[in-house]
Amino acid sequence: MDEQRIEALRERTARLQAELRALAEEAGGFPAVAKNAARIEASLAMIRINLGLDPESPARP
Amino acid sequence: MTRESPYWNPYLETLPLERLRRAQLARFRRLVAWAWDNSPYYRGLYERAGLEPGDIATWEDVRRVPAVDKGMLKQAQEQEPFPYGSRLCVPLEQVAEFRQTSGTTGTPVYQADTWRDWEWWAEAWSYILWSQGYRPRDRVFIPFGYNIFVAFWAGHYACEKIGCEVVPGGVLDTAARVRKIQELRATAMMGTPTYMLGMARVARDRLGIDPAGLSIERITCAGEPGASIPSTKRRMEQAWGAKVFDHAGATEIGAWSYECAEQPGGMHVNEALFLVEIEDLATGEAIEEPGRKGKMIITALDRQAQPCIRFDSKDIIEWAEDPCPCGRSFRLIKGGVQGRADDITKVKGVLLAPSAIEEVVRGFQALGDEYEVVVERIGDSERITLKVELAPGAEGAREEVLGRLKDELRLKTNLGYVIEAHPPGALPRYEVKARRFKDLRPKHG
Repeated sequence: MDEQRIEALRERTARLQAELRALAEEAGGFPAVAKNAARIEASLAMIRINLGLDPESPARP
Repeated sequence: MTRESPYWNPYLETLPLERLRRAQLARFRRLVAWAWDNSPYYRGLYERAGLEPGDIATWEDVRRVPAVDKGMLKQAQEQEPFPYGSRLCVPLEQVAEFRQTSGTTGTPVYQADTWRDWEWWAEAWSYILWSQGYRPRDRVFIPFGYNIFVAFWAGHYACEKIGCEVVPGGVLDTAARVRKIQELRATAMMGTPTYMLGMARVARDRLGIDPAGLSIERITCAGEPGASIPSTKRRMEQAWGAKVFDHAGATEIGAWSYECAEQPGGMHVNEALFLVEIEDLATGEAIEEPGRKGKMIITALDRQAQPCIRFDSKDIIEWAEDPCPCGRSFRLIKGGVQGRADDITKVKGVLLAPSAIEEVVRGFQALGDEYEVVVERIGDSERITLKVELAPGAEGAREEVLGRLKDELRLKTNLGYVIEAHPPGALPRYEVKARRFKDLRPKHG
């Protein structure tokens, strides 16, 4: 598969992850937002794994 | 419109193997570091072996990491925190799911999963189902109450992820399940080979319904090796008029292997999510080349709550010679899981794998689906009794069938058998996993 396309997907995923973490932080004390954000983060971790990335850290393996 | 990919992950499933292997090594190192930082059990294990995560740089180093087996997992489970023990890598508040092993070999192993782990389980199953042709148009019937066991739960969630419509068929009895399949025109199903064959029997004999005339197009099997045993697979395919696919998984590990739509006579190892090593049974030497059987040591590379690092699964596998025509770079294991190191037993001085008997018995159309093997010590010698059922209408050919069966068994297993033929329906029926091999010899002496 085209590496450039993969890289573009990885970058977009990184932006989403940063946004999601900011959302989770701002949602402290608001369970309905924080818990749903945590679920989305788990799904995002799967996208990262499927793009060959470490699910947690921004570093490439 | 973008064309739909035949691969769940068109990137990793076709990535050259050497790049996949590089990524595996990096992720294995990261997993060991995670376990070192968060699990007293793993830290102690590695300290005793004189190993730190930073020491792992090569495949040789990977092999120096101590393997764990089920007995060790049970010991770790006796420690705090209750009920998972010192292998747990996350605070209990982050555990979202409890599952356990079936406990067929003693105390069950409890498995903790975070929500991310649970997404990962569904992900692993999505690779399987997508490769076997499951698509959003499918209506998938799962004829089990999933209970505390993981496999069909994960299959259920993967169906949802893919977009299939999933029908949980627990609680209903077998006849009601057959009727529900008929009523809803379900297109796919999951189950153990034993149950798939039993369900077909109930449809035919009790309900007068030919299961091959129902709408099932594909069946994914779990829990027993039958779908990789050609004669058992053939029986299921004929009974249901459907393609039957195998997959392999374990509660401690995940769903690590699958047969793709090409059905090349083996299963792909999901090398995006798992690291599979094969070790020689006698020497422990790593086996990299095709054609040599050994036992599998496996690591799920991304599990968070209770990672299982270099798990000695006792499964006997071998790498296949040729790549699969499906185009996946994930390697194939020939003939699926060929047995378990602790199932292979010596009878009359000959190594015997129970799956070899199943392959022979299920190859006889004149025999029913059920059989039972009993190994006994009689005085100084050992005796294997094989109990089979003659299929309805086969009584007239009894002597000829049993004679051929005896010859075929001797040819395939190098052993002689006492054959007992029983009428249809006489042998025990099993709902989920069958126990057809009974070794009654005294353990010692």
